[in-house]
Amino acid sequence: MLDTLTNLGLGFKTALSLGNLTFCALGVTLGTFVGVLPGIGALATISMCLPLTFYLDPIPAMIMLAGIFYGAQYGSSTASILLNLPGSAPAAITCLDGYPMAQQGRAGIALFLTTIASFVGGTFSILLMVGFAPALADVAISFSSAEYFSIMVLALVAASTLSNGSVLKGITMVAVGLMLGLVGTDISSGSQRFTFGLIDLSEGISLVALAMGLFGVAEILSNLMRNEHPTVDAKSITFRSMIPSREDWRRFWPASGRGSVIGAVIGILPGTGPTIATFISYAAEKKIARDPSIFGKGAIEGIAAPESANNSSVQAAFIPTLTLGIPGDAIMAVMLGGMLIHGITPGPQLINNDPVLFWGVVASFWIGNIFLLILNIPLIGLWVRLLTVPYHLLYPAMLFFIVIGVYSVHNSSFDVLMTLGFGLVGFAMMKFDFPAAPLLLGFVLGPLIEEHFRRALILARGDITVFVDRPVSLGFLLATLIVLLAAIGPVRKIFRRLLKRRSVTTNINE
Amino acid sequence: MKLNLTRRVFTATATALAMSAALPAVAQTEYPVKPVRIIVPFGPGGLADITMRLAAEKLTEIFGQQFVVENHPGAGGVAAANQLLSSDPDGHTLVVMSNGTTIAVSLFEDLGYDPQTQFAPISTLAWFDLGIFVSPDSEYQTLQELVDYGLANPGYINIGTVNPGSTQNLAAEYFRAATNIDATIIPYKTSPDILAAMIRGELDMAIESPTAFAAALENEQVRALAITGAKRNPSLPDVPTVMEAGIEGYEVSGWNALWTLDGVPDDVIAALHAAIAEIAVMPDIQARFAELNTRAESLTPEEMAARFESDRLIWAQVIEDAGIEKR
Amino acid sequence: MTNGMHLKLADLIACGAIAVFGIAALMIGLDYQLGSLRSMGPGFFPVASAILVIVLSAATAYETYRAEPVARDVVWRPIIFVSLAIIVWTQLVDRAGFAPAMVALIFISSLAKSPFRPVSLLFMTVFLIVAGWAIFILGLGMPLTLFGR
Repeated sequence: MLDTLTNLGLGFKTALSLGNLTFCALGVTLGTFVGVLPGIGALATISMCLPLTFYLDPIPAMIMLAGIFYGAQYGSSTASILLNLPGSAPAAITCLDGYPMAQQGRAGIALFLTTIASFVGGTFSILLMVGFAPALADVAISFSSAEYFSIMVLALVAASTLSNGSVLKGITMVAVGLMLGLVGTDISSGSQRFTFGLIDLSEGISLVALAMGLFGVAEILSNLMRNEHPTVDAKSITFRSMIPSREDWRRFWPASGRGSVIGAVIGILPGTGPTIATFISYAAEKKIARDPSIFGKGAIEGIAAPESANNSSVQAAFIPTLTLGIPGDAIMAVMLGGMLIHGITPGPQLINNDPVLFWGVVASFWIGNIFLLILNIPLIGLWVRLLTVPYHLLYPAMLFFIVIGVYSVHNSSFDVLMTLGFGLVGFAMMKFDFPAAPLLLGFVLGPLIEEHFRRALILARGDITVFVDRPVSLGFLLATLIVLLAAIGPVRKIFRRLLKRRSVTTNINE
Repeated sequence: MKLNLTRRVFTATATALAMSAALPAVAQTEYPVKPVRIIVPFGPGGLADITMRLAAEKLTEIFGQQFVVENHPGAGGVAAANQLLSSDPDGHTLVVMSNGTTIAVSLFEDLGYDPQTQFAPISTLAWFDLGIFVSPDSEYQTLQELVDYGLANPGYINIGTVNPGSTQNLAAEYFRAATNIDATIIPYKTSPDILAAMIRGELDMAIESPTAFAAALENEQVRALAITGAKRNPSLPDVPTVMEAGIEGYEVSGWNALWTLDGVPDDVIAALHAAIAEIAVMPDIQARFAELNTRAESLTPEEMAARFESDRLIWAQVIEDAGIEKR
Repeated sequence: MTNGMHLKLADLIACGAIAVFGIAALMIGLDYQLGSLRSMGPGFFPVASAILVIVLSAATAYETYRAEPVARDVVWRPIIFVSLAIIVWTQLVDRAGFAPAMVALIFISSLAKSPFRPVSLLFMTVFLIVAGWAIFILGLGMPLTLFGR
């Protein structure tokens, strides 16, 4: 314990040096802005900034690159709330309740709360990193394909209840998402599937194109068909209108806490990513809510949990990267590459061999999160003013950022056409009440489920019992079963009764 | 306008021309008259990309014209090949094709291009090994021990590699065929996934490039049993080659080479080859390549064509033996 | 009542479209090898997912058939102009450059809804192109040119 404190002291001493503070501020500011812009995200920005950091010392270089990464998560919910246009795929879920809040004139409050939620999530995972990084990383990589499969199946089953309305339509969209996720090169055999001979599809459908089409373009189309557009009077934007009420806070904290935990669990697992974290935390909030019907209409829980999960997962993704040298996703792989170029070898020895770097970077994460708080809260007033722009000017500008953002990911016009295609499909889905969120989660989870299912079976030489033989995997499958049973009418009643009893007790404890 | 070559290249070209008497005497072509595009079939940041960018800098210095690297990633190098095929045969568009192409020609039902007839070889540039890795606490101290165990226990050994159809994956198929071990090859998405699986104890061995495992080697998360190249790897001098470890004839080397379109004037190809040959022996290039755990070596167009053919034959056989379905 | 059936028909067609998507995927998927449990082929998941899509779309169609009909109006003008704007953009960006492509995108898309205000649009277009050029081409180094190829 004392050791940790000494180390943290060392870390803060490093992170608080003027140079490091500057690069931290630079990184998080850049991150916030690319986060706000739809499509263009942390991966593109970090890849482009990486060569610039070769001229820096390793510590400021890492601090800045990391700042871009978690800074982008703060920004990504802004456009979701204001325009129903997610800045990145993980923020798509924030549209569901953030946009209704904006329509009710509560955009300022939503932006304020998502900023705080991001801070809570980030802080939670940083504390985990400080206290238990090596132990957590060991647990995370002890998850083999069987465990991954089972946890992803649980996530998938939870996904069907993401939206309001018909559960059947939700599940149908999950299945369509699974199908779309299969397009491209099959990881386990190398075959090309559903590519129709198009090179552009060999790497699969672009997640950004899908998310921007289903959420961004579809929303623009649907808005254009409405006759009136709620524009906000600039005079009504006061600082007071951004302050959440006591009731808002009361609903905010528990949801933010749960989101942080779910985000951290998913973030530590290599290969999962923040999209899964935000969607699952939202689904979980809805599952445990006493009145699930409030979701989709501006529920505080619906923005607090996913935003906390988003930042918590991103920050937790550093744990396996720094302590084992195992990057969980493409962004972490680029960061790892950056460290190697600087002659730093992330891995079990990093904490001992280079404590200044490890603790300095960890301390900078928290300082960066404080910067983001200071940066984002005053910006809220500015962002909300976006709503005063008349819609006939706003939507061409939104299309401007959508096309360039999607194009930037692979420098591909094909992806932009795909975005249009998904926009039209998404619009039709909206018209017929087929929800988009389950489709997106099915798309993200499908390839993971297939990969791990097949690998688990190869490892077990075709023995299907591997999924129930391994205790952790069995646990997740049993949880899946409970979720499924709870969806069946009579069983649900029993669950409701049990849940009610539990919530009464928690109320007494409060 | 006179021949737009610097003196250095001019001499190099002259030497090359003098050395290869087989080259027909043709009129000197003006080259390069505009920036030259080098098409890389992989995304930025990979080994092929980095080494080619280093070489492009030198080519720019030598020829006094910009050599610009463009990334056109995509399965089988098709996107990159299309860029070359749609260009004029004037040597202003070059493409990087690797040992991966020698696999792709047999792996794809219809690749859409044939480097052996449609392209003209210029020179190889970067060479790299693969390694056979085990967990540090693995009971196998030598490759022979692993092979013996595998032979005695059919169906026991798990070999991890990245995606099917990659050089690593086919090197594993080749290994299985060469040793007659009944082993299971487990595909993973990325090399960090393999590393995690190794730490978890899921794999008995993995075939991966020492470059990808550089950090893991330093962290002692993996141990190298053998190197697949013809020679030992300078950064792992104590590790024997697979052939030294007793598996006869087993050699897998990765290489990246520069090609252009068939029909490009011979003197242009000779000038480019001479420039690459000169770059490959530059001390700073050698040092940078060594840092990347790769080796710079230029083969002549004839040697390169022969190497392509011999690699192609090996992989065609491996693909057939392993019963891998064509794509 | 006839009107109700007519409304339901649209919903049923939507379910039918999903079913067709599933059936097409199934037909393609059956060409891929199914494999065995020990070594699952690339075809197993496509076939399983496609069957899932078909079954679920049928179930949804039944649910829709039982439910009260809902009126769903579509205005074609936004769809046409937004689609056209994006298609023209993709054709121009690699040939004519970033600026002409964006001018086309903004002006075509703004025809999707009245009022059409060319002057304020022009100001915004200039502002967005300058800002976009600074952010994406200058700042992030995207391989695009302002004009031409």
